[in-house]
Amino acid sequence: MSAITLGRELNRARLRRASFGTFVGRLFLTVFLAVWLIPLYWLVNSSFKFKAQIQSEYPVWIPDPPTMENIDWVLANLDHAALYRSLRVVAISVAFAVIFGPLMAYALSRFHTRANAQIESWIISTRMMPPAALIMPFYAVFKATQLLNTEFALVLLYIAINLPLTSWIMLAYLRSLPEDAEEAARIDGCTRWGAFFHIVLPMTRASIAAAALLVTILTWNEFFIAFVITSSNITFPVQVAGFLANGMNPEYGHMAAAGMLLSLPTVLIAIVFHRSLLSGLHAFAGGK
Amino acid sequence: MSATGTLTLARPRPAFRLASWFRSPWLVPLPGFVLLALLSIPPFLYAVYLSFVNVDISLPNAPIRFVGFANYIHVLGSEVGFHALKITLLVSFGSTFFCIAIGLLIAYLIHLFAGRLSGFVTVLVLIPLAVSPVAMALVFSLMLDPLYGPVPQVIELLTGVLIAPTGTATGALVTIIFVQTWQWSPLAVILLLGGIKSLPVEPVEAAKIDGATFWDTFWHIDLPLLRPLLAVAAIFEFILCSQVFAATELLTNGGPGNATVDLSLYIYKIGIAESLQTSVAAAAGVIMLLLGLFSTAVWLKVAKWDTQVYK
Repeated sequence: MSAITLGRELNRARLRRASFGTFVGRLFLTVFLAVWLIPLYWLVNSSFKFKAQIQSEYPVWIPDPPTMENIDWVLANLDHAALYRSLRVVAISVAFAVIFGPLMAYALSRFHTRANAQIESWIISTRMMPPAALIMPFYAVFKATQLLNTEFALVLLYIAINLPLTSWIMLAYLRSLPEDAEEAARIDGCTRWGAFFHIVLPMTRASIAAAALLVTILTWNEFFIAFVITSSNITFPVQVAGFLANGMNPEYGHMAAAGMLLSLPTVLIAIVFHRSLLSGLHAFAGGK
Repeated sequence: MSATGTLTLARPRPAFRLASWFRSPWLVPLPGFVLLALLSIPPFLYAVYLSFVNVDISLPNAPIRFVGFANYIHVLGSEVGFHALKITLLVSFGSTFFCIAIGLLIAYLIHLFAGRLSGFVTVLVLIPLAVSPVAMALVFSLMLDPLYGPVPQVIELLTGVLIAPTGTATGALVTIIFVQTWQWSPLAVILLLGGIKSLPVEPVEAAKIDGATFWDTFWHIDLPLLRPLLAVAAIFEFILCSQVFAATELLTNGGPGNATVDLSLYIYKIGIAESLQTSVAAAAGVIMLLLGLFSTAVWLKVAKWDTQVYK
């Protein structure tokens, strides 16, 4: 009896201490998140401000009254060709990477030859290269072959970046997938690729989607290659970057609205498909 | 056992036949392998070749000569080039450190305190990863504007000191490290949160019964177990954080002066925008390539560590 009461007292004391710690921890986490999201909030907030609200002496936290002026201006002055070009380049390069990445990963994980380990290290090393390292040879070759400023050049370079990424992510997934079902199918007369298309593909649909999602976000946001390779047939991010260089009297409202429109698709995708993106990020680091 | 061994030895080696090549299962993914090979190996060899000759796109008819390490000396010997390498290393190591520190802190906070909201909090933390670096450069140039930016305004309100964050060399460097940290630390949070969640519970409980505090279990149990994952996260943060172009080109424009010109901006300026010294830019690219190869080598080593913690 007394032991039980003692236990209860102890529990209660522990609970009280724990709840104080929990309160402090939650408070800290909330404050951190608020500070963490201020830049994003400021992007949205500023795109609804009049110029006077942006150029005020104190920070304006809520635009009152809000205006659609900036967004209207950006929509009217946006080069729609750049937007469509971005969509095309992303779609083609992602499609190629998403089709061939899983096929390459499947071959590497299931068809054992002596060269597999070497091929794998090669794919890893291409994946880890900073794009700036190899931009000069590409630039020289594209210039010599009149391919500078073309969507074809952009698509090629984006495939070179995306293909190692998707094959790498799929390799991480396929390694963790047991081979029993495929073997059973092959005993029943399926070919190797028959086993892939009938057994493995349906099981890895979610992982392929995760890889596609990650690659889409990274390609849509890619700036360096597009900025260097294209100067007239520009992509959407390069065009938005153009709004920034505006001399002494920058139009911050227009900049913010353009930046918001640029980020909106990827941020929405990340929020809606966060589960898929999370698993893609784990595979990205070779974890899973 | 030995019978099968003899059997395989006795079987004649099949002659090379075109028909068997057409039936090879490697044929299906072949276009991918071939394209990737074409897009990675020749450019690499061409970059190395360019870095040892004197190609200048603005002088297309000049004779091409082998110049030895002159281009490398040009990069590392000039003040701007050497400074660019220093900036790349400072930004990469600095933001990697902060990414891992913030990642560990926030992952623990989410794990311990977020409770049922942990999924929601993770999504909020994740968002900067999806924001375009261009939009990020825009919003930071807006927030740090010495006249109208909220950051200088709040600092002036609190301390009475007027500052222009991107106006000084140190301030600009700190800004770039901050931008890189903000963009890429979500990856560290997510990787480490996964690791912390899969940590074994028994050793920590045993230690707690013996009177260990949170810090004891953190230092002596969690951290050693998380070591492989921390290393992996650090390498990927390093690779991602070393690609700074949007922030240096758009936010500080390499300034003030050349204070925040990193290697990628240096390559762009010397090879394309300001002069057309292709070979010098290629040499700077090869130096960057060595950084990439170095992180690959470290990764291959670390990947062999005991990876049980994150399955």
